[in-house]
Amino acid sequence: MALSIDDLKFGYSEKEILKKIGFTSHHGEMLALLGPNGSGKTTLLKLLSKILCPECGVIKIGDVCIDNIPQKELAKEMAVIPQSFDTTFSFTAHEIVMMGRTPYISRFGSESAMDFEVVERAMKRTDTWQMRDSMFYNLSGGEKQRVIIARALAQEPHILLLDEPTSSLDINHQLEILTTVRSLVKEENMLVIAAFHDLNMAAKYFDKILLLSNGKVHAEGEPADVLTEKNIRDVYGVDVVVKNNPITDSIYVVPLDKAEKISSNSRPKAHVICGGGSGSPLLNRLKKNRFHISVGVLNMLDTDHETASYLNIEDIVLEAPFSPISDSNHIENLKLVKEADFVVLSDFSIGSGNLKNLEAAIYAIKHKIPVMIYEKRKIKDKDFTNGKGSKLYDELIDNGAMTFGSKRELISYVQSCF
Amino acid sequence: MEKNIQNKYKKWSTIIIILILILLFSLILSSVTGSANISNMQIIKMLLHKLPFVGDRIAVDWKDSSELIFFNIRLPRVILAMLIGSALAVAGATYQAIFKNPMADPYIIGVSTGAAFGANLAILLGLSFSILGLSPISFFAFFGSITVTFFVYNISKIGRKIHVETLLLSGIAIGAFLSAITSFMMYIAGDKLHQMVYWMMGGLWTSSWADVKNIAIFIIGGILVIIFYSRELNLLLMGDETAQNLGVDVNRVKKILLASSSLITAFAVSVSGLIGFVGLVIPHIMRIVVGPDHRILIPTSALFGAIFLVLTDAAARVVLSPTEIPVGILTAFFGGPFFTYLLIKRKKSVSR
Repeated sequence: MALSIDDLKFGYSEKEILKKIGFTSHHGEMLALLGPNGSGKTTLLKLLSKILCPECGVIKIGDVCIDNIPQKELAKEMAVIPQSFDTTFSFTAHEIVMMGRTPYISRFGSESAMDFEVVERAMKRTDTWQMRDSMFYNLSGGEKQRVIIARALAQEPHILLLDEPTSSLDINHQLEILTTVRSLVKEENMLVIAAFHDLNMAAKYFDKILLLSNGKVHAEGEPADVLTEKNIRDVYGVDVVVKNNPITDSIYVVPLDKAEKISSNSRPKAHVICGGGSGSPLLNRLKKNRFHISVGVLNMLDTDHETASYLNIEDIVLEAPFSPISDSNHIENLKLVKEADFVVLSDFSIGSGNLKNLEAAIYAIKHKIPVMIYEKRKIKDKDFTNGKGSKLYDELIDNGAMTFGSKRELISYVQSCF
Repeated sequence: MEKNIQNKYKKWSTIIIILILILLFSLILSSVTGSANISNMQIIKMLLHKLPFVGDRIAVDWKDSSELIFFNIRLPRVILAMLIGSALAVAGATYQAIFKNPMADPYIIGVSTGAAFGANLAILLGLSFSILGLSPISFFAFFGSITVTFFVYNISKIGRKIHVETLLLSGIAIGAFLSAITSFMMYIAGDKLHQMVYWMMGGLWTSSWADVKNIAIFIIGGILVIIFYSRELNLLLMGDETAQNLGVDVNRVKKILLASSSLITAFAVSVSGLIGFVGLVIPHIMRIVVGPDHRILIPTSALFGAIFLVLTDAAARVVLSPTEIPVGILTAFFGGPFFTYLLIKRKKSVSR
């Protein structure tokens, strides 16, 4: 069995909310609907549960269109867990869960032994059996949500729809509920479709992700394929880094800053020459201040290289690990220097392998590109080349390179100039 | 757990049996109360006399007028009080669930203003004919309330859906408009004003067997329909979307419930005028006693509404004997303070 949606459209008077949505989802699968506020997640769920009627398009469970399923039969097939649920009326938790059996009880009948059994199983399943006689409104937020999941389970559905089911819960209860739902899916072969906000939770718990943007499917597939830096930037307008979490073996998303609206071409360009981790804080601050950054030449596996890739810096010249800078990479670096509006030198140690980086800085200053040096240590303390480095360094200073004693000073200077 | 539930059902049936006994007692108490002096013994004999076989053996030792008063005036009046009390209480409980609003009463969507308009119009025009045994006042009151309800309902219907908030607001808007006209009619009514005011206060002094015949079947039928849908009422309390997700055809059920409760209210009002507070307060009292589950709330409200109106009507007949006061005054007289008490109690439980 599967839930399939084809060519679904919906709108309120003038405003189109969903435009041509289509996808298929199978039992035993957890599908997360992601997307910013207003992208149509909740609307889609309401269409699936027949609360709203689509303008056009079909929703099918197996081969049957849901329009042809009476409400009562649909309630046996599909249960909905809302964002939050509360009532001021004094029903016990057990009575609330028993309401899930409504579609199975005939108008003139009362609850059968079977109904009681199903309710008991559902409540034990969600660890709410011990609170069966408590008034529902006296329970905590997490307990209420678990009782509501039990009510959904009491419907014995094959499809579970959840609308941001954990958004009002603390991390502990979020995990608990997602773990419960996940084990249900696998054991009972259910299909779960959930609107979600937390990208990392979605990546960890869900098999498939449908990324919505402006009422359209932007991307669809496994978390690693959908939650790419580019997709997230396109849909949410934020810069993120997507990494693989070695502990949970799922991807995780680290937000950086809200993406700059202006194109990268119009931003001032900074070329950073660094190494050995000395450049990382500078790179981060320059990035925060919206400079376009290029870096060179760095050895692979250098801490600064790692930072640069975290920060999504694409213009970077890399040398093989622990190798001196080759001529060809030096020329590449000079190309980046030439394009830059200014060059920043971090407080890196100078050895024979990276002398060429100082030459690149001299190249810059001779081409009237300002050079700023962050000077934490004096040159004699960081020169390991028997004076060759100091000589180049002095030449740099003589040609007008500026030195700064603190990173903050350096950044505020470049900010005021560019 | 099943034991708990069985205990609950046992408790429910006990409450219902107790209420039925109280109702029977109230019916007897009310039918022996009144300004005409008829002894209890005489009434028992009169009743036995009507029975087959036993009847012949009872010697007639009462005046014909006593028999007339008892059978043609008191008995239909007591039965009407019972029907109207339960109709108003059940309609009130139903509206409170549909609107999810504890302040809702049977008159909330304009039944009362429509009925008052119709009744006053009939009084003003001085109509005197009878349709199906109904007086013109009853007839106009009934159609006034049904027309207004229908109108209000159609204003708030969008496609297949009924917007409860709009229903409430359009009820208020149309009600205000009709009240203005009703007030104007009262202003120009001259010596008919007295009759209008009496009608609007609500009372049962015009009761007859014709009234009972006309409304009994509809009121009993309407209450039964609402009882059949009491499980759905519970789910409607949880919100329309939740109810639908749990398998309730919300729009259809709401229509059935609105139609039933409006209809029983209209029938009640057509013969009794505007009796206030029964429909508002009785469901609240029963909710405190039996909880919010409509499977027990609706039947007990029906019984307790009947008890309350039967007893208040008896009181209305005796407090200023030999004249009687409109029962609508007494229901509000008892209901008002009680409702205030409920509000204060709720305030305390909220600020606890």
